[in-house]
Amino acid sequence: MLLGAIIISITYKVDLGKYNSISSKVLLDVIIIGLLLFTFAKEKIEDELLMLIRLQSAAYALIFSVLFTVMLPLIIFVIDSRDINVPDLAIIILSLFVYHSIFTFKKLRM
Amino acid sequence: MENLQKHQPQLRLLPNYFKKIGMGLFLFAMIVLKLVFIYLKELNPVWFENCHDFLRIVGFDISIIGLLLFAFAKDEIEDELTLLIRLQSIAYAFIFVILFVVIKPLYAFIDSNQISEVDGKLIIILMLVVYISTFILRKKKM
Repeated sequence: MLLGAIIISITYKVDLGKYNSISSKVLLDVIIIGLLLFTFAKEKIEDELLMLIRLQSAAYALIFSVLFTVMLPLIIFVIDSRDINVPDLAIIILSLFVYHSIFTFKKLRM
Repeated sequence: MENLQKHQPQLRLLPNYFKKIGMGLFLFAMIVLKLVFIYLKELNPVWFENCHDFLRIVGFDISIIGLLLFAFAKDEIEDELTLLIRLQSIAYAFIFVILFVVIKPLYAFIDSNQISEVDGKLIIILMLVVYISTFILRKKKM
């Protein structure tokens, strides 16, 4: 799903950064659902160690996204004196991305 | 054996008293800052107009950090069962928030033909609240 959505966006030149068009919105939703399915799919060997790694990665992803959401508007307010909203999809994609990178890194190191 | 234990991943949680600090910060942001907001609006509207954005950002940030401290503080008894409950709660929180983010704008689009966007801070608060409530409920059921 994730790869399909990215391929469609490249083929039909849908600008995923353009937040207002319905096509980019639907494609981003498909990417997120693909990432979600990828996140919660079982590994070939699921044991307690992997469960702990999953928990650690999820906790780090949550902490990272919280700090990102807290710090970014504050920094922009200090620099530019304006109040911005961090986009919801950006937070979700960022946290899932952080989860996957930590999970893969820790799994490979074991 | 020692080497194995050294490489064993561990979830480093905050000490138990951070639950009180976190809850205190959250309540402070929700109640005290809200009261300051209301009184400042009546007493000094010009100053309020200047500081409105800053107070809003700081209020949200303090409440989010309070919830985060509460969520990642140790329980009195931490064992493998609580770790499993934590993992389940985080998974439920992620799934709930992702479904919310995907379904709500689509519903708004069908309803009013407009593409809406959910504020990121609300998403984070929702995620933390779902995590904490699921964790407490599941722990009580055990």
